[in-house]
Amino acid sequence: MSLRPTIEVENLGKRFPSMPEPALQGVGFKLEAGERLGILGHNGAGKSTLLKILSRVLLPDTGRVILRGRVASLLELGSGFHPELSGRENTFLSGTLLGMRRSEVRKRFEEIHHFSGIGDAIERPVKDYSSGMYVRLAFSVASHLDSDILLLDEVLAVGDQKFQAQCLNRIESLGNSGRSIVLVSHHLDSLERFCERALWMEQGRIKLDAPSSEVVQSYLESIREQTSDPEVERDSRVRSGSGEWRFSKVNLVETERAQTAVSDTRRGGKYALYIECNPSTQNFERLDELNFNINFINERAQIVGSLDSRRSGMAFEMLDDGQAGVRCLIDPWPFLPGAYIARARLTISGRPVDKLEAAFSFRVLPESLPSVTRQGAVEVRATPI
Amino acid sequence: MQTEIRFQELSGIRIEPKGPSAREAFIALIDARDILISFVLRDWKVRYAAARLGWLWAVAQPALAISIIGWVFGRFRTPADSAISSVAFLASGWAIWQYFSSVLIQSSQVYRQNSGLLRKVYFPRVLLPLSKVFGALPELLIGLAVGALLAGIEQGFRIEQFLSIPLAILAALLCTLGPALMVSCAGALWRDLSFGFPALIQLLFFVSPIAFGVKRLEGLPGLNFNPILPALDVQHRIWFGVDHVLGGWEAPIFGVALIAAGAFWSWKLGPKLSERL
Repeated sequence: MSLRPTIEVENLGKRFPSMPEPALQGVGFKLEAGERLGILGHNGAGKSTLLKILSRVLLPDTGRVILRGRVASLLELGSGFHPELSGRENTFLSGTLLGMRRSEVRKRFEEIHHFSGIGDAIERPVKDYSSGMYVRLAFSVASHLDSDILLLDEVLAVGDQKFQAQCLNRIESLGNSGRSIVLVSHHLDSLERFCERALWMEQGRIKLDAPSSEVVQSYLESIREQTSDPEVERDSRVRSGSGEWRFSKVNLVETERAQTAVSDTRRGGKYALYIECNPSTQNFERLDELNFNINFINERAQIVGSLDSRRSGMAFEMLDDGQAGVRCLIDPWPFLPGAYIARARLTISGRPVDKLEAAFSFRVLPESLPSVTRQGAVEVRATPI
Repeated sequence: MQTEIRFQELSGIRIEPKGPSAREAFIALIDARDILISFVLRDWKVRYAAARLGWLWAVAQPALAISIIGWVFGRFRTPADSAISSVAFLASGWAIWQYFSSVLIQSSQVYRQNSGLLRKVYFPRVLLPLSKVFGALPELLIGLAVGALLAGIEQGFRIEQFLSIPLAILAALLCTLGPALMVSCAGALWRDLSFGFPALIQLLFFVSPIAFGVKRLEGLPGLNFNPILPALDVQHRIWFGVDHVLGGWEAPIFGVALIAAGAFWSWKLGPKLSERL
């Protein structure tokens, strides 16, 4: 094994003619053999551009990259699959495109076929496959590449939960076998669990290069800062509605320390919501018609839970400071480890009066859970009857 | 499992704004030869996949075309050409022309048709037009054999017409390679080419000694810049003798220059294709 880094990136820059801002500027880092690096950031931060340059799909405008070892790049599952060809034929086509020799694919074919779990369908044209079968075969081919450097872009964002868990386990075992891995993902929990180091990219630059737990923490902190920034909240892009009533506070608090808003939570804990709002004119006549609704959104922008004041039998009340408020307890806290954003809406008789795209954000701290329990975002508890 | 080490892995792969050097690009091309095989196999399997007659079309197409077009063009032949039947003359060059024209038309669109793949997977881009050049060789072989058979039926069987098939394949491949690389790059840069190019190819048909005999084309200006002429000349020399050769020494030199220019353009444009498409 070489003592030199497997990936060296120096002063990388890239600008697309159609974009006003550079996609990458001054990006540099090194990756040692066997190291696993996660890359996170908002859309348009330059993550995928960086990975495309490392994959040799794009050329940089400035700087250089040195890759030492055999590179396997997986920017999209099923690249090169032809619908008219059978699963077997596509395995050879995709395998060679991803960097294997045909003789290697031949040697590993049974292993790839078995891992994909698609059985006799391997001899049928892939145009007849379900989307699940298609990605299972595609991932199976890609994950059997014998490479020193593995570049992965959002591969965990396809397929069902079971398949995603299977992908993660497979990537984890590849990582444990000494490969250097670069993983771009919005799946912060997986990224933190899987990578020891992470890069946070913003506007084409590296904002933070540190242990992944630190980077994820800082990244979430920045989201929280943005969501609590009054300037942002006044922005019509994140705040909408007629404005007759406005949220003045949407806080998630721990029941023991009721006045302090929390951002780190634990699965199964007790948490409360403090919601306050006030009218644009001091007219409280329609207070009984006021309703709030909160959507809990996970890292993959999926709504995984909702809370509705009317359906929960809650009503706003006048507070001493002249505002209207409602407090409620959520017990047990149902969310599984991961990062979440809460979108809050105020309505009067179903008509939207205020909406905060990101009223607050929180994280459910990682913990060791059986793989079956880890799937999804919300834990469903039941009691025997 | 023991893995084969590729040439580039030993010294490390450098990614720089100027793209790979000619040496690096050549090594990458050699490393990726299995991808070429996969592309060629894909094209073969897919081409007749939906047709009921399947590979029979590879035999039926040249047989029908040579019979019908040979009869039609026989009516326009000059007395100097009349020693050779029009069907036999067409049979000598038809498969080469079909190979040349179909490879060029496919190559002019090959980068655009694979733009999705080019944006997601790295491989030496030149493999795509090369797969068209090599992928059409089995049909060229079948077409040449059918041509020799039809010519034999028309004017009597001659063994050299069958023995010359490998030479005809090599000549056709060399004459097609340069233009295919050139039009693939041009097609990637200018979409309009895919609309106008088939008409240009049709025009070239009428100034090539395929259907018309050589006497009708003698003295035509710019004849030596017809890229397929050297392959047709090789075929006509073996089948009909030296009187039926049209091109001069400039024609093969022009062919070599086209290969060099096509390779150079592909080397320079290839790494930038995912952005240009």
